[in-house]
Amino acid sequence: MKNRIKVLRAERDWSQAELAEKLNIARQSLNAIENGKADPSLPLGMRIAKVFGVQVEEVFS
Amino acid sequence: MGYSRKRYWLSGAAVLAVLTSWIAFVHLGRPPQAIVPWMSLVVVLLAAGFAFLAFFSRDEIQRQNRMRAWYYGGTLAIFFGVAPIVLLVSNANLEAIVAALPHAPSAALHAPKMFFILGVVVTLLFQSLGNYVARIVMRLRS
Repeated sequence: MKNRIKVLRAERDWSQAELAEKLNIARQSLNAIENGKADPSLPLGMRIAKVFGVQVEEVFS
Repeated sequence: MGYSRKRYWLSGAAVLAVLTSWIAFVHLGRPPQAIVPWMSLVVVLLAAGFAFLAFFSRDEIQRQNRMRAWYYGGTLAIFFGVAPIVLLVSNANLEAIVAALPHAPSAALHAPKMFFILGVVVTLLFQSLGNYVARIVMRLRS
C-alpha cells in the first residue's frame, strides 16, 4: 500500500519522531509504515489522516 | 492501553524479576514442598500478567512484528529443534538426557514427571531460540 506520509510530513516540517509522538507509536513503526514495510490498521490510518488534517484517501492509496 | 516504551521495559523487567526471584527462593530458601506448586501457580499468573502488560505496551506495528517472529520462530523450532529430537533421539537415550537435567533426583529418573519436564524445557528452549533467530533475520532484512 502506497502512502504520502513522507510528503505530508515534509510539508509541515515535522520529523519522524514528532509525528510518531503525535500518533503515540514508536518512531521505528512510523518509519516502517512510511516505507511501506508495514500496513497500519484502519484506526491508525484514520488517526494519521486526522493528525495531518486530510481525508484518509489523501494519505493512502 | 496505548504505546509506552517505559511501561514496556518496566513490565519486561518485572517478568524477569518475578521468575528469577522465585527460582532463587525455591533453590536457596527451600520452602515447604506443599506450598511450592500453589506458589508456582501464583508466580506464573503474575509473570503472565506482566508479560500481557508488556505486550500491550507496544504499538500495533511492533505487536505485528512480535507475532510474526513468534510464528516463524515456532516453525523454525519445529523443523530444526523439536522434530529432529523426536525423530532421531531414541527412547533409550532419554534417561541419559533426563539425568543431565540440573537437580534431577536419581530416584526420580524414571518418573513420568521428569520426561514431561524435559519435553516442556526442549519445546520452550527451541521456541525461544527460533523467536530470536527470526527477529535477527527480520532486523537484518529491514
